[in-house]
Amino acid sequence: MESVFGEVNVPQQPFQNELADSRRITLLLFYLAALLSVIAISLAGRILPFRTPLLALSVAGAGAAILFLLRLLRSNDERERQINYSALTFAFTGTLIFSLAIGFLQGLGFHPMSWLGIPALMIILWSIGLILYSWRYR
Amino acid sequence: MKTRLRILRAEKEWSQAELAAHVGVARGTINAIENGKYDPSLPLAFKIARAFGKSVEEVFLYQENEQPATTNSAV
Repeated sequence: MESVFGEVNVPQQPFQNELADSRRITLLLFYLAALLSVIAISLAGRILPFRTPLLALSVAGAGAAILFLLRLLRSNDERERQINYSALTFAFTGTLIFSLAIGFLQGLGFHPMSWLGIPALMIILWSIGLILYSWRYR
Repeated sequence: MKTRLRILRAEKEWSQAELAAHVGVARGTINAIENGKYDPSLPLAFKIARAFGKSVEEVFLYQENEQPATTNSAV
C-alpha cells in the first residue's frame, strides 16, 4: 500500500470466524432446501399416488429456502449486502433476458421448456453473481 | 479513498478478524477497505475510527480527483 500514510506489512489471517461459518452453513441450507423443492415438484408429476405429499414437500422446501435466504441477507454486513444486491440484479436481468429469448424462440417453434427452469436459472445466476461480485471486492 | 487501517492495526497488533469483530463486519470487508476495493459507509467509517480512538480524517483520506472504489449506496 503506497500512500502518504506509508507502508506496513501486517499478515492477513485466513478467513476463519464463527460468523462466516454460520453464513456458509445458511447458504448451504438454502441450496439444499431449494434443491429439495425442485426435486419434489419434478417427481410430483411422475409419481401420481404421492402427488399431494410431494407438492406439499416442494412448497415446504421453497418456504424453507426463502427463510434461509432472508436469514443470510439479515446476517450480512454492508459490503455483503451490496454484493447480494448486485448479484440479485444480475440474476433478475439475466432471467428476464433468457425467458424473453426462450419465449421468442418458442414462437418460432422451439421446444417448450418447463416453468421450473425459471427459479432454477435465477438461483444459478444469483450464485454466479455472488462469485463475480465477491471477486470484484477482493 | 486512502486509509491508514493497516498501520493502525499494526500499532494495536490487531488482526483483520479482530478489527472486524470490533466494528461488527466480516473480515473480508476490512480487507476490501484496506485494499481500496470498497469505500465504507459513513457510520462504518466512524465505527472504525472510534475503535482506534481517532477521528475519521486520521484514518481515511479522500482525494477530490480519485476514482471511487465501489461504495455502499444503501446507507
